[in-house]
Amino acid sequence: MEQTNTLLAQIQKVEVSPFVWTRIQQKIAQPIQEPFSKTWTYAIAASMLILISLNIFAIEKDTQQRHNQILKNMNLMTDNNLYHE
Amino acid sequence: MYKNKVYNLALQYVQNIEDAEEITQDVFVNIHLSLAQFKHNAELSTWIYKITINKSLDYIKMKKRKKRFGLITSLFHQESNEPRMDVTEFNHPGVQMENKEATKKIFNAINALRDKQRTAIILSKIEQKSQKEIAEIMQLNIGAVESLIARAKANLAIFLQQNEG
Repeated sequence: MEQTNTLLAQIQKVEVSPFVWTRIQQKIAQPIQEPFSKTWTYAIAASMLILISLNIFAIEKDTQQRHNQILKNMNLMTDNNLYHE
Repeated sequence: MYKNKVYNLALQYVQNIEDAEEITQDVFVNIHLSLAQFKHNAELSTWIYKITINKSLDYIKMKKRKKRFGLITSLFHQESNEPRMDVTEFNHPGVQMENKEATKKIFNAINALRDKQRTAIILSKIEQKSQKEIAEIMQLNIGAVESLIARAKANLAIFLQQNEG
């Protein structure tokens, strides 16, 4: 362990290449680009939600209509009227 | 200036010039972006050390992940000409030529330590920081640092012995 400590203590400090500093300055100078702006994200999410809701509504309505049509065709529509006028 | 401190600390983690330069860039961009979050009750150097340690450990994890992913993809695309992420070459400019092999073995053992133990041994044995400074950087109490260093030394001795045998 003594030798290990000695070797580790002998590691010298080195200077960073000046190009690194230039690259850092370039990176900092670049404006941060967000992949999507918040407004666009909210707008897309809202349109998706509306689209999905409309789809669900349309499917539900269609299923109900088909169900009623089958019952009507088979004369199975329930009716509370006892007598036909 | 801090750039050399950051670069040297990153070097102790990755032992490679290109990787240490990459980490140094990341650290300073991060400092620039989060300077507003810096609490003035802490020392600036401590804060910069903390960022450097976190960035270095993140960088190592990212590289390991890429290496693992590269291995998996190479199994499926054996004829691919894409360069493979091989084990990073030991290229530490602070190590003297005559000590290179011995120091490389020590670093291999240090790299096998857990993150906290690795940080404790790097800060105490290479960066020559006092236990108080290490405690501030690692946000631990002095007792915890002492025990971390003791455990790191013990594990280091085991790893080195295993490598020799």
